[in-house]
Amino acid sequence: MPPPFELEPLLKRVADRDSRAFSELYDRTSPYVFGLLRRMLATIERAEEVAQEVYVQVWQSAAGFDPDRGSGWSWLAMMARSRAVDRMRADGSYRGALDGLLSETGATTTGNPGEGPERATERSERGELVRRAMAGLPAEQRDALAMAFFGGYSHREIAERTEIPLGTVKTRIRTAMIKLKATLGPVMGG
Amino acid sequence: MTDERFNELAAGFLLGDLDGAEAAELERELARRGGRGETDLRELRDVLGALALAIPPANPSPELKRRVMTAIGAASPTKGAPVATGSSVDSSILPLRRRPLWPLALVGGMAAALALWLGIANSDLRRENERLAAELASARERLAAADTARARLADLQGDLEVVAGPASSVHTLTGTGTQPDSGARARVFLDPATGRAILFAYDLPILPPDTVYELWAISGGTPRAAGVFRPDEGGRARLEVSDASLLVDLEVLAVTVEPAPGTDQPTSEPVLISTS
Repeated sequence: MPPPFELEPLLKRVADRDSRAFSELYDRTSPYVFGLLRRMLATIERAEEVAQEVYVQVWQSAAGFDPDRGSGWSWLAMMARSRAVDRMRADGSYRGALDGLLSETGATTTGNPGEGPERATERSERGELVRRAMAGLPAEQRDALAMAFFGGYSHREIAERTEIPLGTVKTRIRTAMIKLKATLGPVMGG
Repeated sequence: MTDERFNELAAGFLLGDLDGAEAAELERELARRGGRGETDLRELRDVLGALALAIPPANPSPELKRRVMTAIGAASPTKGAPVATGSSVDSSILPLRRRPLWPLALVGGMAAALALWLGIANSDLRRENERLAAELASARERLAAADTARARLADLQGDLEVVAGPASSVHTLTGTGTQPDSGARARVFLDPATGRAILFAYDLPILPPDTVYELWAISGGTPRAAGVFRPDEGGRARLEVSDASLLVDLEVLAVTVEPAPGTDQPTSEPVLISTS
C-alpha cells in the first residue's frame, strides 16, 4: 500500500534537524493529527497538549523512522494515537466519543492552509473513502475496531463491555482490518 | 501458523494489545515468514494509519505551532531562513548626526558573545533534551513490559476463575488411538457463573501447517463446531470456546484434525473424545 501523504522526504530532512522541513511537515499534517486527537480526547486543551508532545517527539525521533515499516503518515498517526491512549489512561475513564463517527461530515471541518486546493480535495476524498470503507463493514466488526483504535480499549476491555467472548473480539478486529486492507489498498496511493 | 492467527497477532501488536507470549509468538512467525511477514505487517500498519483519516481534519490554534516550534528550539526555521540585513531597517529612525561607532562595536561584541553562549546553552539543552527523551523512551518500554506482565496475569487469573469456580464442571478428553500414542489429552472447563469455557490440551502431536485441531460439541447426535486450535512446540494448546452454551446439555466432546481454518462439519475421525 503506497503512502498516502508522501511525508518521507520531509521526515528525512527533519531527521537532519531542518526546522523549515519540520515547519512544513507540521503545516501539512497538524489538521489531521489534531482532528484525530480532538476526537479521542475530552477537551481541546488536552488535544493540543498531546499534539505538542507528538510533534516534539517527531522532532526528536524522526531519525528512527523506517520507511520499510510503513508510510510516514502511518508512523505519525500511530504515534499520535499511542500518545492519546496514554493520556486517556492517565486521565481516567474518558474515551473518545464513538457515536456518529461514520456520519461525520465536512461541515465541522476547516481547511488546511498548508496545502493547495487540489491536495485538499484529494485528501478529503481519501477521508471519504476511508469512512465509506468503514461503513461497509458489518456493524459488529466496525464497532470492535473503532473501540480498539479510537477508544483505546484493549481487546479484553471490549469483550467485557460488550459481553462478547475475547476470541470473538479478536476475530472481529482482525477480520475488519483485512477487509479494510482489501478495500483501501488500491486507492491509498500517494 | 495460519494467516488468520498471524493477522490476529499483528493486529494486536499494532494496537498495543499483545501479552508477552503472543509477542514472542509473533516474533517467531515474522522470522519464519521473512520479508512476506514484514510486508503484511507494514500493510496492516498503513491500514490503521488510513483509519485515522476517517476523522475529519480540524485546525489547531495558531498558538500551538508557536509552542511546538519553541519547544524544539526553533522559533523560526533554521535552514535557508532569510537573513536580516541593514537594508531592512527603516532609515527614517537613524539620527542625523553620526554617532561614534565604538559603543556599537562593543555592543556587537557582547551580542556575539551572548549568541555564542546561547548557542552552547542551546546545544547543551538539546543534548539534555535528547538524554531525557531516551530516558523517557526507556521508562515507557519498562511500563509496556509491566503492562504486558499485568495483562498476562489477568489472563491467568481469568483462566483460574473458570477452572476453580464453585460451579465449574470439567470434561476430560483422551486419545482414541487414531493418532500415534502420544499421550495426548485435554480438559474442558465450563464455568456457568461467567459463561466461559476453556480447553487445555497436552502432548498433542504437531500438525502440518495446513491443518488445525477442531473441537466439537455433540448433542442429539449433531456435532457443532466449538473452535479451532494448534498446539505450541511443546504440544500444549489453549482454546477459549467462543460460545460456551454449546457445552450445555452436552452428550460428548470430540477433537478432530481438519483442514485450516476449520470446517463446519467434522471430516475425519476424532483423535480425542470425552470420557467424562
